[in-house]
Amino acid sequence: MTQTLLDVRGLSRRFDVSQPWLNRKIEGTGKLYVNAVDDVSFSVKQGETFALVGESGSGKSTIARLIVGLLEPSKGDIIFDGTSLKNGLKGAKARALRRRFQMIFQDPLASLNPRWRVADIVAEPLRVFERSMSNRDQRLRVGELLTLVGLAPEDGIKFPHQFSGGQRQRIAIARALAANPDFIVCDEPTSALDVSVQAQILNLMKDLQKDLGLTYVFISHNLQVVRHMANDIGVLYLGRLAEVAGAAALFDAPRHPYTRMLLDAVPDIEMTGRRRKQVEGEIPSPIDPPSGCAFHPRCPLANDRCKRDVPKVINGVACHAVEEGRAA
Amino acid sequence: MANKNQTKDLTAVPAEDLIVPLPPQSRLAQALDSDIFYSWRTSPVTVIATMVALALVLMAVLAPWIAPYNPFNPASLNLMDGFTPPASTGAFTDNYFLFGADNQGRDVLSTIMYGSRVSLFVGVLATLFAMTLGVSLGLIAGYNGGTTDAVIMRVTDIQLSFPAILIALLIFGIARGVIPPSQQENMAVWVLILAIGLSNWAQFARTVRGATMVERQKDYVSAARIMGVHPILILLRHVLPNVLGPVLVIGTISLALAIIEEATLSFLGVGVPPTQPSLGTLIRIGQQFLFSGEWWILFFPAITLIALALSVNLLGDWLRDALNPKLR
Amino acid sequence: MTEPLLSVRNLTVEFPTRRGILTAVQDVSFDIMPGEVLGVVGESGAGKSMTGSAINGLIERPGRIAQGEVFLQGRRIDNLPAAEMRKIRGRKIGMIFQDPLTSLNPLYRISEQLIETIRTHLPLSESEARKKAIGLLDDVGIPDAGRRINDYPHQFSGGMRQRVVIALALCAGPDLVIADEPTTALDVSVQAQIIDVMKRLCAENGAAIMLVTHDMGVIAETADRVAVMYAGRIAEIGPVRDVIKDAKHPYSAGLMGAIPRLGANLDRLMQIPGAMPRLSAIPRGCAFNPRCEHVMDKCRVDQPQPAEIAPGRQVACWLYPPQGSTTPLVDERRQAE
Repeated sequence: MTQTLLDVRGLSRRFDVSQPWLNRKIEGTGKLYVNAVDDVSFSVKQGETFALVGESGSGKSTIARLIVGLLEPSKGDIIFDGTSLKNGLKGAKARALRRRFQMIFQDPLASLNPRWRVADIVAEPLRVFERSMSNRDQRLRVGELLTLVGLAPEDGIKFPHQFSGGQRQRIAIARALAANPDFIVCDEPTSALDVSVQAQILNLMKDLQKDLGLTYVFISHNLQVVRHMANDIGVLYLGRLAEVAGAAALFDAPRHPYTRMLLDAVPDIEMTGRRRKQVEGEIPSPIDPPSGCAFHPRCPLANDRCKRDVPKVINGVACHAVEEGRAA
Repeated sequence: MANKNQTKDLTAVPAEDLIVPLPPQSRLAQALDSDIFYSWRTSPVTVIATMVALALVLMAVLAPWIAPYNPFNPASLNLMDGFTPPASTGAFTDNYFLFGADNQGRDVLSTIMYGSRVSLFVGVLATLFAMTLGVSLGLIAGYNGGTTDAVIMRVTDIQLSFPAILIALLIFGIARGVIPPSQQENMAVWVLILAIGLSNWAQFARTVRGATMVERQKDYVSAARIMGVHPILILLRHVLPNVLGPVLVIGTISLALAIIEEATLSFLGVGVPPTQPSLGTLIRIGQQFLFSGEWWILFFPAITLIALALSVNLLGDWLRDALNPKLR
Repeated sequence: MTEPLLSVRNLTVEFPTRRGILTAVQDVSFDIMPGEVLGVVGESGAGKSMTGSAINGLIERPGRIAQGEVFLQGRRIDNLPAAEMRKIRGRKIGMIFQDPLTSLNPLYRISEQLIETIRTHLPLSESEARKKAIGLLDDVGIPDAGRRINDYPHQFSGGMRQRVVIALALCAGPDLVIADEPTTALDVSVQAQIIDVMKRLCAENGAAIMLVTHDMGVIAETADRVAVMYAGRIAEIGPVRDVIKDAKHPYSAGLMGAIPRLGANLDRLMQIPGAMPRLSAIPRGCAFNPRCEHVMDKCRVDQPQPAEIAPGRQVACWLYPPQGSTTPLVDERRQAE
C-alpha cells in the first residue's frame, strides 16, 4: 500500500503588489493584493509523480516554492511525512527534513552558479548535510552522481557555461540527488530544452524514480509531458484547482470545462485531421480575477451561479456545471 | 536506441574511475586564452594605459631604491640649489636635476616619486575602504530588502546628494576637533583615507545592491536556500563572486577619483602634512612659482597626476566594456 | 508549372570569430510556392531562424551570406543594397517574431504604427490608411478595433499583441510572410487562436508563409511542406504528412519519436543520444553521424547531399543514395528490431 508523503491542505498565498506607501498616499489608491494560490489541497503518494498543470498566472510555480519553503503560506498547511512545515524549518529536526527534499528548476543555467566548478555545485548538498565527509569521499560521490546522470567524472572540473542546456539540467539533477533525498519538486524541468533533449531528461527522471524510489511533484504547462510523467494530475486555473484526477481518468474523460479546453488545444501531432477547437478569450489578469468561478467568462457552460459563487472541489472537480449535471 | 541511457550499475566500476579529478592548478594559460585578455590585447589604448599605470606604480613603490635623491633628508639638501631648471646641474652641488629643483633645492623627480607613493597609498586604501563598506552595505540591503534596504538606500541617497569633497572636508574638520593636536601630524594620512573612503562608498553600495537583487532571484540561490545554507554563506559564496564584476569596474574608476580627491584636499592644504608631500601638495607648492617662471615645479607633478588618473580611468573604461556581455 | 515565389539556392551564412569561421547555415536550398506554407523545424542552433534572417537581409554583423542566392519572384534579392531591401521587407515580405514587443514600438499608439507602415508601402491618404488599419485589426480578431486602435502596445495582452503584429505584417499585402516562432511565447490555449488567424489571413490574401518553429505540433497543423534542419543543414524536406508519419532521415525520425503524445502512454520516450554539436565543432561528414544509430564509415567522411527519393521529397542521408536507387535500409532495420 502506497502511503501519502506530502499533504497540501487549503494552501493559499497572497502577494502584496501595492504601490509604494508614498505613491499610494499621493494617488489615493489602496493596498493591492494578488491571490496567487487560493485554497489548494492535494496529496502526493510515496514513489509516485503528482503533476500540476496550468498556464501563465495559474500559480503552479508559487506552489512549488511554497512546498520547498522558499515562500511561506498565507493560509493552509503543508504536511511532509507527518510533519507540518507551516512554522518554518529550524533546528536539527529541520536539517533532517530538509535533506529529504530538493528542487529542480526551469532554467538550468540560472540554477547553477556560473562561477563555481560543476564538482563544487554538485557537492554543495554534501557540504551542508555531510559535513564530516572527507574531500576525497566528496569527489568520489560527485563522480558517481555525474556518471549516474549520464555525464563523466571529468566534467566536474568544468564550469556550467561549457555545457549544453540538457547537460546543465543533468548537473542540476545530480546536485538534487547528492544528499539522497526522497522527494523532488520539479518546476518545468524541460520547458527550456529542445524536444530530443527533453526526451533524454524525462527518461532519466523516470529511471531515477524507479531506481531510487523518488517521489516527484512535477510542474508543467505541457500536457503531453505531464501525460508521460504523472500518476495523478492537478489542473490549476488562476490560483485555484479546477480538477484533480488520476492521469488516465483525466485524459480519457476530462470533466472540468477548462481541462477539456486544454486538451482540445493540444496540437494534433498524429495528423488525425482533428482540428484544434477554437478557444474563446484569454487568461484574465490575476490582479483582477473574474467573480465567482474564475473561468466563467470563457466557459461554454457558465450560468448566473458561476458568476456569483466560487465552486468548491467536489469529487475532484471544482465546477457548478459538473455538480449540477449540466456538463454532459 | 531507447535503452541507451539506462542508469548504469555503479558498483561494478572501480572507485578511481569515478572520482572527480582535481582542477588544473595553473590558470595562466587559460587566462592568456580568455576573451578578456583578447579584448585587452586588441585595444592599443588600453595596452598603453596599462604600461603607463604600471610604470607609475612601480616608480612609486620602488621610490626609496630608485629615486636619485631622498628629498626628505635635510642632510642631502642644499637650499642654494633651489630653482635649478630642468636637465641641469645644481649651482652649488654636483647634483643633476632632470626635472629641475624646487624652491628648497629638492629634486622634483624624486619628490614626484615619493609623492606618487603617498598619493597611491592614500588612493588605494581609501578605495579599498569605500569598497568594503559599500559592498557590505549593498549586499545586506539587496539581499534582505524591506526596511533594511530602505534605510541603507536613503542614507546612500543623502550621501550622493552632497559633493564628495564636502563630505571629506567635513570629516576632516571633525577629526581635527577630536584628535589631540600632538597626534594630528601622524594621524593625517589615516584621517585622509577615512574621509575619502567615506565620501565614495555610496556608488559601490548602489551598484552592488542592484546586482544582488538580480542574483538573489536566480535559482542557484534558491537551491542553496532550500538546503538551508546560512544567508551569510549564501552572500559570501554565491552572490558576492557574481557581483564582483561591476565592483571591479567602479573600483578602478573610483581609484582615479580618490587620487584626484586626495590631490584636491592636499592642494587646499587639508591633506597630508608638507613634510610628507603627495602629488597634490607638490602642485600646491608649485603653483606659487608658476608666474615667476619656475614652471617645472608645478608642471611635472601635475603631468604625473594627470597621467596616473587618466591611465587608471582608461583601464576602468576598458574593464567595463570587456565585462559587459552586450558590448562584446 | 508555376514559378516558385521564393527560391533559396545553396545559401551559406558565416560568422567570423577570432577562433575561426562559424557556419550557421550551410548550403541550404529550397523553394516556396505562391500561397504555400513551408514549415522549417529544428532544435536551437539548427540555423532555422538564421535562414529566415538571411532571406530578410537581417543578418547582424559580423555575420554574412558567404555563398548562395535568394530569388523572390525570380528577382535576386540577397545582394540588394540596404535601402532596396527595406522596401521589399514589409511590401513583399512580412515578418512575425516570437516576442511581439520586439516588433511593436512601446512609445507609439497601434494606430500610428499601422498607418505609418501602410502609407510607407501603399499610396493611401491618412484617413484611407486608418480605415484599412481598422479593417485589418478587425480581421485579426481584435474586438472593438475602432477604439482599441488608439491604444498603446502595453495595453494589449500577449495574444492580442501577436494579433496586432500579424496585422502589421500583412498590412501592405506581402506575398510572403516569415513567421519566426510566432506562438512560442504564448499559452497553449491562445496558440491555437493565433495559428488560426495567421493561416486564415494569409490564405485570404494569397500570401505564402515560411513558418520557423521548434514545435512539431504547430507544423503538423499549419504547414503544407516541412524542412527539418540540423546543424545548419537541411536533413529532410517533404510534404508534412509524409515527414511526420514516415520520417526518412534518422534525425527527423528520432525527433518525431522524442515527442511525448497524449494518445500513447509509453514507459520510455524514444531518445537521440547526445546533443546538437556547437557551431564550432560540427563533425566531419554527416553532421548527425555521432548520434546516428545507422552510422556507416562513409557518414564520417563524406557529407551527404539532399537527394530526391520521391517527388517533392529530399533526404540528405547516405541511407538514401542519390540517382534513384532508393534502397529503404531504415525500414528493413526497423522491422528486424
